[in-house]
Formats: sequence, structure tokens, C-alpha cells
Amino acid sequence: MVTAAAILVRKGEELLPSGKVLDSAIIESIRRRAIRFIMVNVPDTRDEEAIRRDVEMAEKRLLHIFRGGGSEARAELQRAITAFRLRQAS
Amino acid sequence: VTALTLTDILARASALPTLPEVAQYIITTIDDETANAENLVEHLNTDPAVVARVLASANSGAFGLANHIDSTRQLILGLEKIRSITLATAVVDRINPASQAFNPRVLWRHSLGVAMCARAIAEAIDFNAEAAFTAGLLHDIGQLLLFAVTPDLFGEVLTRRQNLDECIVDAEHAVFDFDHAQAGGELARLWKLPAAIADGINGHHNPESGEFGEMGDLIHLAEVLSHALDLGELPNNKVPELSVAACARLGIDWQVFARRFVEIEARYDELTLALGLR
Repeated sequence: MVTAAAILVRKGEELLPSGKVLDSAIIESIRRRAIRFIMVNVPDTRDEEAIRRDVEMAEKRLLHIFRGGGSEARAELQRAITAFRLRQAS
Repeated sequence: VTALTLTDILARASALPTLPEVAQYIITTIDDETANAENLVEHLNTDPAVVARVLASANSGAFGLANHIDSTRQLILGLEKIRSITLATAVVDRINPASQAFNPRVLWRHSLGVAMCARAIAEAIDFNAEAAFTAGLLHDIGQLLLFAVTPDLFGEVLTRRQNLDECIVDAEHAVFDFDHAQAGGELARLWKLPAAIADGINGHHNPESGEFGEMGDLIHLAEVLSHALDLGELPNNKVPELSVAACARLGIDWQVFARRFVEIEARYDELTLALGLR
């Protein structure tokens, strides 16, 4: 398991770089520092067809839950959520 | 529209169980700097039914506690987080009216989603995160009140929402002369909860004027964000309207805030699992 993004401490200093292998000593050190959340890279075993289906499902769901019009603020939120979901799906 | 007024509903508020003592203690001491962990643990230990569930939630990781916890004494490690965990556990366990038409587990999953979003927004704008979590957790208490007092009429609301794809507030105004946010806000005042919590509940569907302050704006944003992140597995989920004015007043830029989405989802998943709501 490797970190997907650098872990920064409160003042912005880098505790662990992106791509660092997480062994048990490092995980314990993260726990001790009360870091509550890290992102890890999980190998993607999906083929292109599965990715295409996941993206299509995500787009369909977003269109459903954001049905109807709304304010510019709602449209801005929709853009942020769409980018997030499509990144997750692909 | 029924002749049943908000005053009538509140006069029959005893149809809904009151908040457990430990939850009442936590909420009323939210702004009390002298409230300490010893007092909280004392209250917690008077309610053994809650203790085991609190420990399971605390260990779930949803609240970011670093060490394993195996007694209420160790809960002193993180007072603020324990307040949130205890509150969520006690409230969800106590207030659970159910029928074929209404599943409180769905409502509580949604409420926990809003609570997690409220906490994240509060952290982003340097607002009281525990108060925001509490207001988020209780924001739909008015729906539970309406269901407990008048299940048939509230059933009509749910049917309208489903069949006409209306937002719940519009459906409520077609059946009652008020909505669940107003009912919940008034119930919070009746229960003598802090004014900011009542404002968050009352203002979550009515943010335009800003009359419910920062908490009203914050719970409104948290409500919309929770729908947008599809938290709560709501049947026929639809993202409500989002107030431009409320976003501007809180200074939320969704493109910047987006980096918190993945954390909100992860913590929501862990908490609902720990509370047995999945």
C-alpha cells in the first residue's frame, strides 16, 4: 500500500511524500500523530469496458440527482461534484 | 391545507421521546468552556445501554480518534469528539418512530450525512465544528415530530413528494401551514436547546434572508452538499436549491472545498457502519 498524496502536517511541512510505501512502523507513526485520514493508491484492476460502464453510471446518477434547474451556486456545486465523481469512476 | 397549526403540533410534542439525559447535557454545554470530560463520563455511565454503542462508534475511526478505546475513562482522550459520538449514538437510539411509510433509519442516515458535511464546512471556515455537527444531526427533527404527532398527514407529505417529485418543504406547505424546519426549530426552543442549534434547524430550508445567522447558512449548505454527495442512500434523491447568498456569506468556493469530499464520504461510511445504520 502506498500513499496517493503527500501527507502534510499543520504548518504545511511534508511528513510523507506521495508514493511512500506504508509499512507497519509508518502506520503506527501516523496513528501516534493523530492523523485522521490519508489517501492510498489501490491498484485498479478494471478493464477499459468496466471503466466505461462506471463512468456512464456515474454520469447517469449525477444527471438524476441534479435534475431540475437551480441557482448558479447549485450549478457550481454540480461541477465540483461531477469532477470528483468522474475522477473516482475513471 | 389542514387546520392543524404549528402550535397544535408543539402542544402534542410529547408524542416524540425527549432527548436522553446525556444528549441534553452535551447539547446544553456546547458553548460551556467549563464543561469537562469527567462530567460527561459521569452522565454517560448513568446510561449503560449507550456505553457499548459509544465505544463501538469511537473505535470506528469516523471521528479520527488515534488510539483504541476500551473504557469510558479513556474517552477523556478526545472530549469534543466523544461529545459528538455520544450525542449521535444516544439520539439515534432513542428517537426511532417507525411505520410502513416512514423509516427513521433513512432519516438518520441522511442526518448523519448532513452532520458530517456540517462539521467539514465548519472546519473550513473556522466555525464551532461540534455545534455544527449537532445542528446537522438534529436538523430534520421536525420531520420526526410531524410523523409522531400526525402520521397520516405526514404520510400525505411523503406521498406527494414521491409522486410529484416535489421538494419536501413544498409538499409540507401543501398539507400543513408550515414546514418541518419551522416545526423542528420551535421544538428545539421548547427543549431549550442553544439558540444557534435552533437557528440551524429552522434556517436550513430558508437561508435567503440570513435571519438564521451563520448556523442557518451552514446547515443549509450541509443539507445540499449531503444530497449532492448522495449520502444516506435516499430513495429518489434530488439535490435541493442552493442559496447563492448563503454560499457568499460563508465564503465557500466549491472547487476549493472539493478536496474534502473524499474525507466526508469515508467518515460518513465509518460512522453509519458503527451505528448499525448500513
